[in-house]
Amino acid sequence: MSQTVFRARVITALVLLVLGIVVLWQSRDLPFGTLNRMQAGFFPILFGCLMSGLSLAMLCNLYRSRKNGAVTDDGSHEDEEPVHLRGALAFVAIFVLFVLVTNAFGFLAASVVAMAAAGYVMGLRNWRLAVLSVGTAAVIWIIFDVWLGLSLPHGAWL
Amino acid sequence: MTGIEEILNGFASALSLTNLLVCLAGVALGTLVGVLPGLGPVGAISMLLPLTFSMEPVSALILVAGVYFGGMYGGSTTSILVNVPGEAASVVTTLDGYKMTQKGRAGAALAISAIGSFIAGTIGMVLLTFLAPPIARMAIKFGPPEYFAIVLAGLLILSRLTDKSLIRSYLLISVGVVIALVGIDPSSGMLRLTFDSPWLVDGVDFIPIIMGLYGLAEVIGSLEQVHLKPEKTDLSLKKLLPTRTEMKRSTGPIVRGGLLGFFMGLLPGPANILSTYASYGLEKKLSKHPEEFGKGAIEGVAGPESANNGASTGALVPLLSLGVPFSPMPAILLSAFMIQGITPGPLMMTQHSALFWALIASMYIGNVMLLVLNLPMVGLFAKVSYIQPKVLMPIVMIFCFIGAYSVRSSMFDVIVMIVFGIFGYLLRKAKMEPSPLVLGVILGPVLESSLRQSTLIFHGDLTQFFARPISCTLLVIAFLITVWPLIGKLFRRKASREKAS
Repeated sequence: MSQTVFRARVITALVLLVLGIVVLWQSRDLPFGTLNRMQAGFFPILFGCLMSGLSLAMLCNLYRSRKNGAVTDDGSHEDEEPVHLRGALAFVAIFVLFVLVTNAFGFLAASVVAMAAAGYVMGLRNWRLAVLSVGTAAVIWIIFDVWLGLSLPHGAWL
Repeated sequence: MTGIEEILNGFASALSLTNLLVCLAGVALGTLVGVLPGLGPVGAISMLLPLTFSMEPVSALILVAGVYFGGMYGGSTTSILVNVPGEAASVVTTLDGYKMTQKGRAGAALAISAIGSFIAGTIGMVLLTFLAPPIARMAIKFGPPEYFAIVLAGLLILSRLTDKSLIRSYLLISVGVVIALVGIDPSSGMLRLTFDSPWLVDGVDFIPIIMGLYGLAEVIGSLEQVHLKPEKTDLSLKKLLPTRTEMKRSTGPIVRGGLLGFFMGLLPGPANILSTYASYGLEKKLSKHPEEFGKGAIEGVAGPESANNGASTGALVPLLSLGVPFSPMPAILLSAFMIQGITPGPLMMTQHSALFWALIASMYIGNVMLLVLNLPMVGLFAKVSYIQPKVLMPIVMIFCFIGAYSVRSSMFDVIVMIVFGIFGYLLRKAKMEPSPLVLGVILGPVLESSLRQSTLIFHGDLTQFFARPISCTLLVIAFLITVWPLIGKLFRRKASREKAS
């Protein structure tokens, strides 16, 4: 496997190990019950243990793979998509921006801002960017709010 | 009146001009709303139900049936074109459908989806017409131990389809089950894994999770493809439709998927979802080209889409013959019946026989309309795949936000989608398929409730699962399918060591 896949799997296993431990910690006060009468804590504790155990097993396997030389970075994985970390972080920031603008100014404004930012990150400029962001936001508003009656948020300021 | 006369009278009623127009409207609206990510057929029917309030009972039920089938087809369109499942049962379609789009075969994938849905729906309708009462009686024999066995077997078997590593699959299933546990424990009313947050008290819905794992993850990953310009290929109908080889390869999966889906639809639980995975696994096993699965194999679209439609038709059997919905979609159809003052069940066939057979007939007609309406539009839908990622992905992003928000009109679901979007991107980079996680979220509640009820019935004696023929068979099959490859691996390792020495 490539270095990218290796690192991504390590991060995934670590995140899920931490999550498993958090689940066990949160469930510590729940009653476990017996096999005859399972209570609220049975499944969270059981699956929290499974998550933690399987994450550890995955980390062990990854460690063994690296030790056996299965992790390579010799250009034999050229078909893999490169990691565009800056772009990924930009998109995450756009997602957060969308939530914040929706809460303040409503869905329509947030859609315009998010679409404009996303289009800019993707390489769109000038009138194409304006048409995409304003036009799409307007169409979505008409379909969902007006026609389907979804009642999209108007924001705290409006 | 004989059965044949009743069917013919049903067709006579369904073929009136008003009812034909209502059916067409239902199919068109259902497809349109089903295409919108996150809404799917359940959302489509829920939103369009108020339209039926002032209609005649026959027309109202025909409209709802049209929306039902149209919504299902619409849900698969976004899976194929932009890798965003319109509903949970369309997740499997993304595995090969989207790959076909990336190879410039979006039209063929959409067309096969429509044709497969039509054939499977027709098979299902014929079986529904003649087998409804006896099959429904058998389905009643399923109790909590059988539900548990079928869900556990489903999780164990289906997780093997998506990743070579059992550890990775089971890990993601565990994550999914844990997510499903968030909220109020249905038995005791205790709060679980809510972290004292009021937002988590109602649990986490699976639609935002799916949209994040597939939709937003695709949006984030699109930056790595922004330099790509979609190939301008020939959009003539000849090129859009499946080739003769593709049709030949799809015939078996469509028939098998339709039958498999129909019989699975008779069972309680999320049959639509399970049937699509089961069909995918079956076709991969039977295929002469199993290595193509996950890379754009047409069988990977034909089988699951047919199974989905077959399961939706099969799910109508317990609803119409017993008045008992076994999954969310028939439950919403039940509400449509009740709005019209009709109680589906054994008496429906005697007290409202004209309505019953008109409904059955309209489903045949709706199925034909779905094909007639959507097949010519394949070209239009396929054009979506030629839109540059820098234009398409921001639009997909906004539709994902809307889809997540529309579930419960809550920004919390949008936040959940964003979190899973980031996680989905990480899984993409790790080359880990997210579908086991989705399965865990959807099947987790059924797994827990059925196990708890079973252990109460058995007074904690788990061996009793093997005393019941259905649960025993399912658990043994699941065990063998899980353990067999490991045994094979051990034997191979032993053989290679002996050879080396």
